[in-house]
Parts: sequence; C-alpha cells; structure tokens
Amino acid sequence: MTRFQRGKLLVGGTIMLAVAGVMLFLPNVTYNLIMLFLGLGFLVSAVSMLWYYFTMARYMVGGKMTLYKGIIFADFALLTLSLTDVPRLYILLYLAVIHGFSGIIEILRAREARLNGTKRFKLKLIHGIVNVVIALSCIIFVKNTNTAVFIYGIGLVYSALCKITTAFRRTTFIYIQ
Amino acid sequence: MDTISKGNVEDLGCRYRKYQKNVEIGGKAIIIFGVWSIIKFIASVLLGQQSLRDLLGIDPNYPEQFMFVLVVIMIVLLALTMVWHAYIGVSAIKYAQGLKKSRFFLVWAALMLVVTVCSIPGYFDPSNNPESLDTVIVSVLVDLSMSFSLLDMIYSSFMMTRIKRQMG
Amino acid sequence: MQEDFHYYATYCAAYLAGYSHEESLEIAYSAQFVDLCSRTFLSKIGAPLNAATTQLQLEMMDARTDIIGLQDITRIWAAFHFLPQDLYAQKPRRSKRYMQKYRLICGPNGDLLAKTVENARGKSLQHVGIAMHVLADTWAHRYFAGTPSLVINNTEHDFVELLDVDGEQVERPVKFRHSPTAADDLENGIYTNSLFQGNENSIMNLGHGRAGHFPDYSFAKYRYMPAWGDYQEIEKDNPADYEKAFAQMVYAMKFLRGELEPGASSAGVENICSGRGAEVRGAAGEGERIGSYSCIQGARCVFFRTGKYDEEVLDKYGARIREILTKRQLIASDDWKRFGEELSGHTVEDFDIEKYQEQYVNATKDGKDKTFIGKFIRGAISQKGMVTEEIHKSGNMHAGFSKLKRVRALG
Repeated sequence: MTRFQRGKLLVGGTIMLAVAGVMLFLPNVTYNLIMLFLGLGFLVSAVSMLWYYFTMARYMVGGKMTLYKGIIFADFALLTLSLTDVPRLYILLYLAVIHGFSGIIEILRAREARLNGTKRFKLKLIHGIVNVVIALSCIIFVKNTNTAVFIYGIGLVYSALCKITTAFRRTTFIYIQ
Repeated sequence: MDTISKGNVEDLGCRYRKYQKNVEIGGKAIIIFGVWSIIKFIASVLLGQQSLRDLLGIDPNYPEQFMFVLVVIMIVLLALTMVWHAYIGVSAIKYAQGLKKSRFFLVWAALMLVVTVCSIPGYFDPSNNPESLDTVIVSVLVDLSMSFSLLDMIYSSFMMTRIKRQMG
Repeated sequence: MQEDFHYYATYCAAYLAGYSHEESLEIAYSAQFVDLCSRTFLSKIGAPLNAATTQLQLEMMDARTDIIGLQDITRIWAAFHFLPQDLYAQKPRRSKRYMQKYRLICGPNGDLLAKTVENARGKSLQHVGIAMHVLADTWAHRYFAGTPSLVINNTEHDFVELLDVDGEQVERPVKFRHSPTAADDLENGIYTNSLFQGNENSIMNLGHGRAGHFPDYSFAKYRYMPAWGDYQEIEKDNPADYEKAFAQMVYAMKFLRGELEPGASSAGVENICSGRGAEVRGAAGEGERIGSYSCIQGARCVFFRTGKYDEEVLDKYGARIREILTKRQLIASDDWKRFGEELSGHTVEDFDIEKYQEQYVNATKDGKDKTFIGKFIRGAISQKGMVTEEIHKSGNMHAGFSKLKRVRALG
C-alpha cells in the first residue's frame, strides 16, 4: 500500500469513529443522519458505478448495462434522500437483515475453515458473532425508538476499527534472490 | 491453432454481434426501467412528502369512493405500463437471440420513445417545487437514458438486418 | 491445467529433456505442487505463508477484495497460473485503469516467460518444476487474467463446443450450470462455470471461472466471446496448445540443463555477454525480442528463446501425444502415466501431497531450506517476487510492491 492509501484508511476510520461518537451521544438528532448516510451511501455507489462505466465497462462486451444500472441507482439514491416518513421499523429491519445475513455467512465460513484444519478461523468467527448480535439487538430492542441509532453507531465503530487496523498492516512482498 | 476472428467477413461478424448485444441489452434495460418507474411511483406515494391526492391534484372535498376508483384506475395503468415495457423488452431479447423473427415490437418501442421524449419538458414546469431540482435532474437523466436505449435498440435492429443481408 | 498434465506430462517432458527418473519425479512433483501449496497447507506445516502458490476455494471465499486483498490475489495467480504475456501492451482509446488490467492477460511466449525460465537457471529441481507449471499454464489459460476483473475475464453466454464427428467439425452449444460439486457431463455438453457477478473485483471474476474447466481439458476445442475482445470470437484449440506446451517444456528443460548451443543473433554473430544482462534484440535493427540472457561476463551467451519448441520430440512422439490429448476424458492421468513409464521403464508413483511433509516438519530451523518443501518455498518466493517486481516496474500497481533481499546461495 502507498502512504496515501494508508492515510486514506486512517482518516476514513477516524472520521467514522467521530461520527459514531456523535450518534451514540445524540441519538434523537442522528436518526435523520442515518437516513442521510444511507442515501449518500447509495449515491456514492451510483456515482462509482457510473465512473466504472466510463473508465472500464464501456470497453467490455455488454458493458452498457452498467450505465443503465448506474443511472437507476442514482435515481434510487436521490429517492431515498427525499423520503421523509420512513418508519423507524423499516430501518431496523433493514439493519437486522444486513447484519444477520452477513453474520451467518461469516460463522459458516469460520466453521468450514476450522474443519479444514486451519487455525485462522477465530477472527472470522468473532466477526460473525458480532454481526448476529447486532441483528438480534435490532429485533429485541425494536420498541426503543433509538435502537436503530445505537446499533448503527456500534456498527460504524466496528468498521472504523477494522479500517484503522488495516492501515497498519504490512503489505510489501519481500522476495529472496 | 487458436484463431481470433479478423478480416472483412469476420469484421461483419463482429459488428453483427455488437448490434445483437445492443438489442439484447436494450430489451433488458427497458424491463428494468419499467419495474423501477413503478417502484418509484409507489414509494413516492407511500413514503414521500406528497400523497396520491396531492400528486394528482384532487380536491380534498371529493368523496372516498372517488379516491377508491382512482386508485383502481392507477393500478390498472401501472399494470399496463409494466406490460408495455415487458412486451418490448422480452421481444427485443428474443429477437436478439434469434428466437423471434417479427420486428413488430419496434413499433411499440418507437411509440414509447415518442411518449418519453415528449414527457421530458414536463419536468421543467415552473410550478414544480424548486427544492426538488436534484431529483428532477436525475429523473430527466433516467428518461433520457431510456430514450437512448430505445433509440439504440431500434437502430441496432435495423443494422442487424442490413449486416445479415451483406453476409448472405 | 490439471494433474494429468502438470504431474504426469511434465514427468514425460522432463525425462525426454534428459533428466533421470528421480529428477523427473521431483520436477513433476513440484509442478503439480504449485496447484496445492495454499496458505492452509503452509499453515499446517508451519511454513512461511508468503510462499503460497495457490488459493483454495475456501480461502478465495474469504479473500478480501480491497486493495491489499486484490494485490495478494494477483501476486499468486499472475505469478503461477496466469503469467501476463505483455505488460506493455497497447490498445487505442482505453483508459489507464482499463489498460492496467488488460496488460495482465495471460498468454504464451511473453517476456515474463523468458524471465521465469531464466530465473530457474542454476537453481533447484523444485524451481524448475515451478517454472514448468507456469509455462504450461500460459498455454492453457491464455486470454484470461490472474486478477479479479469483470471487464477482462467475463465471457458471453454463447459458448460453442467444436466436436469432431466422423472427421467433420460439428458445433454444439454448451450448457452451463453453477454447481461446483457436480462433475462436467461431456456426453451431453453440460459444464459447470462460475456465476455472473457484476462487481468488477469479485472473486468470481478471477481467471477462467466463467469458462468453467474448458481451458483445463486437453481435448477441448471451443469458441466463445471474451469481454475484452471487442466482439471478436476466439476459437481455442486445446490439443494444439497443449502439444506446443509439451514441446516447449522439453526445450525449456534442455535449456535449464545447459544442453542448448550458445545462442547467436540472426546475423550469425555470437553474442558475448557484457555482464549487464540486457535483453537481446534481433540483429540489423529488427527489433524483435528473442530472449533474455544470463550474466556470465565474457562467456558465450546461452539464452532462452521464446517461441521455440523441441521439434525432435514432436517428430518422434507427436502422434502418441496427440492421441492422449485428443481423447475425450475428464482427466488423462492414466494415459500420460503409461506413456511416462514406457519412456523411462520405471514406475511413476502417484502424486501424494504428504510425501515430503514430515521431512519439512521434522527438520531443524536451519535445515528446513535444504528439504524438498524448503527448496520449493525458495523457488516460489523467488518466482512470485520476480513477477511482482516486473508488474510494478511496468507501472501497474495491481500486484503491489516487492522488495529484493539478496542472500548468499546455499552451498
């Protein structure tokens, strides 16, 4: 990784930590922030899909589909940003599904890794368990109006720590002659 | 020996495959645009700032039964829109794959193109909410993309026929 | 390619190149071992993980597709299974981002192949085996890249198999399914391939997954449209390619044994090495790159020429080799094994992944490098580093950086 790439990961992780902190301490204010993040996230995906089309996919056989998908995704992103009355329940369900699914997959992969004799399954298992716990929390504390905010904030802290750890990983390949 | 097609005849083959792919993608794109327009309409009505009444400009004094009939009509119109998109899309895909010979679907595609292009100026109605400029711009982009895909599909279909004649 | 070619055919090629039965077995074992030396295996025996020459299905499922993950994947697959043919390829009206992936497309007789063979010169038999695996795969896996890329490795669903029926070529559309556990049905033309994934860096878009096992079947002749080909169709003739791979392996191993005549330029003038190890070009300004040469200052240069094949072997054994290659079967190990045993008069033992494990595990810390697996590891790291370095030198960051650490050769 270049220094710029490491810096990007560090800065990104630190900003995520800061935002998560604000969310956890000011849950009422940050509900709309979650909707904003979700919408912005979709918008960034859409822009990146369009950028991908213009730099890569337009040279590919059948690449035009990426252009159409990107435009529809951009429309979807702006629709999300414009929606004002999304019940908190829908957001909780969305978070629960995302984390639950991801967590189950990680646990299954950790189990498969352990059966294959590798010792490198523990971190994966922890990732999986954390995701499942987050998903279950969404369901158990559904009546608490600020649950979505807390859970989203915790997810953000976790992702931020993973990003910061990655920034310090050694990546240069050393070979011997 | 491995061979990569090149030369005059194979060049025609390349172009034919390119237009064939354009027709297929155009067909898929039309179906996706159709599905998306319906989802967007429903989401805007259920979760957006305006209700169906506001969207259609219905006087609040009208009775509920009138609203019910209007909703039924809206559902039928949405279904017809979806059928229209699906017919063009599926026909285009089948034509590209050689499973269908008739090009009648291009008539409906041309009609859809005209309707879409004519509806674009409506986005720039001065009575629209100026705060929703970003959504208007993207909606225009969506309609322009759909128009482009229809035009591309129609043009590519004709080019397919022409090249097929040249290839003999 | 599969075990039939990497193990048994490499044994045959090594024996024909002049190696003894035992040496040929070591080379063949190493060639096949490249397909099995994963991080899971290395972790199990306590070996350095950066020597991994492959990734298991499970490891690939877990592989990250961020910058680090992609570099890691590319280092392994581009170095051992999809050696890039031309790191400086040009294509008009393409973005830099696209070209960086396009230049990783694998193909035979590239500059990197010459460097791979040169890199094995004077090294262990294990290193020779690694080079032979890489060489063979440049023929089988050509037109695909060893990095996850939708725009390069995707193929269209119109796949056609070209069958030889009573002397006539017949086309049969291929039916693909996405069932990794089900064996390919050769009779009915039903094959397994990877699922379409729209994400550029998805692991499903690595290598020839979208073409299923077709590149690895020596009998297969097929036609398809690659994503990078501007709607051109490729007709892949595996029997012809595999035959060339075999003949080139024999030539390469003769070169590595030092059996070839000193190289001369096309003007007939012997090249005297200046000691700087520069690339050799054709005489009279032809500009054709004919190979790199090794640095023995003042000595006559012997260099590895790409595009050369051992014609003698093909004249003598071509018919037999073609018979094996064109036989329609999922794996041709028995046929190649029989051929090898006929050539050498010895029994060619079956490949056993555990054969050298105990030797490595029980060796002392200082003695590990002298074991079979220890020598293989040195060869693998050297090959991986060389390819990473070359990719980086070409301005392509997909394999990341590498750092050269010179150590004294083992006595």
